[in-house]
Amino acid sequence: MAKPSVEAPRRWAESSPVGDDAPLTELFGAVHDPGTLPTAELRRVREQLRSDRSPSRSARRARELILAFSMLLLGSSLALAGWGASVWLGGRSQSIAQPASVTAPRKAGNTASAPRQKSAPAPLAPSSEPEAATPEPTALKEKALSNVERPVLPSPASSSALAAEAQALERALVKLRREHDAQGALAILDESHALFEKGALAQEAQVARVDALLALGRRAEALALLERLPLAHIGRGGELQLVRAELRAANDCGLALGDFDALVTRALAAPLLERALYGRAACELQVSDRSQAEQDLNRYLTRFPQGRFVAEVQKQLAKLHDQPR
Amino acid sequence: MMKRAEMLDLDRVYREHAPTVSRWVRRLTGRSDSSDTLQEVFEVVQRKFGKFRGDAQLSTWLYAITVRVVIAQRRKAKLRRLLFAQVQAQFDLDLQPSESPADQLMRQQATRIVYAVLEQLAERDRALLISFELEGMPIAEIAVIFGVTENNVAVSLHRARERFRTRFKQQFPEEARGLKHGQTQR
Repeated sequence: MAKPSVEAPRRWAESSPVGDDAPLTELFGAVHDPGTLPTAELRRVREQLRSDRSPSRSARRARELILAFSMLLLGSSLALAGWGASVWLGGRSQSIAQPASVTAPRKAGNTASAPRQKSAPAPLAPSSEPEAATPEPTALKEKALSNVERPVLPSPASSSALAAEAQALERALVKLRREHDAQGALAILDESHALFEKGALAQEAQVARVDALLALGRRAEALALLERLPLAHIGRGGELQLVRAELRAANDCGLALGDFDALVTRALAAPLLERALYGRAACELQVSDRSQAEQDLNRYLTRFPQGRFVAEVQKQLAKLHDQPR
Repeated sequence: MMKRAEMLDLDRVYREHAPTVSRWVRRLTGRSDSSDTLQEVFEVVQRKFGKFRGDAQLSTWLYAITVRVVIAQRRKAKLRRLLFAQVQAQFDLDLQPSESPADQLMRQQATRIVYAVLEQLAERDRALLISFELEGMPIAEIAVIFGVTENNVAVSLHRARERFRTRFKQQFPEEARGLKHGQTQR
């Protein structure tokens, strides 16, 4: 290591425990060592590197491409929406050369509703009926985009098809999260699945499908899907594993306990840890593991004294104490 | 196509350094499930291995690649969140099983606070603070990693620390006033 020639500040973890930075000294002194990846994981990565045909690498590159195209599409659609708005506001910008796919919906829309279009259009809210002739800026944008996309759908390998896949997923997520229309989201995901079954965003689409199925109360289908997903390697893995554990617990607590065990040893966000701890205790009661259940119920009360399951936990503990050992 | 001798050397580099790099990756990402990032780091190492001339220590070179890969991944992830309205990734590092539950909890909360504040900073400031404050790297080595002068690192570090202090006070006023993080759990 080279000797520093510039005077370095004292690290917070090594600073004096009194003074202005004392809270930072305490905080940084307590940050734990992250540890290394487990040997099995290191070996798996090594094998993938050796094979030199890592699927995750190609998928990553495809995703990068999608991101770039999505940004491009987003930019162009906003530009189109802005241009459309300027036309309705009475501008003479029609004389500027525009793509044919854009001029068609402008003609169909006419300028009758121009006065109410003075406010800026919502840039990402897709119309539920893109075919509607109303000259909404979003409808214009969707029509323009659908015209652009249509010829490229058959080939998922092409970058435009990747962009179309990303757009379909975005529409499904907007339906699900902003419009709370899980059925609509599923319909979009079904359409997208038919076109991009092996697309680069297939995994993200499956996760969105799980969310939609859960929103509709179709728990068995959601569980079946979760059983097939590689949860360790996708975003929201911890949360999805918890959902899988809770769904498994309804039929097979023995199986669910494996998930719960893995979850409570991880540094999950507090709301997830709370559910995992409670779920594990409930399953331990189910499989008559009395001592572990008692331990977890007490641990729950210590960790989450104001938690949402406190009343139930106290009830179960009282029951355990009343039962003969 | 990579030569067999080079491949063998790479194998040795992986065997000897992958655990350390995986630790850096976890530190820099704040996540335990970071095998994809580790793989990407070694893909870059594979591509650039022939160009490594030994000007810096191998470990410094590997750390520099790790920092760049993590920063690039985090920027892409931000973009992805923006596009697909995804929920921001949670801080998620494994606990140390050897410690008592109380110690685990205290460390977990401290780590979560530090990463929550770091999350608010620019990627470069974040990487700089992690390298200096958490990894304990000397200024001279950080200068090599970021490709700048030591003076530049000292100035950037001073500013990054100021920004961290400000954010910390805004986000965690009770902790910043000196209350123990264990006492402020809501």
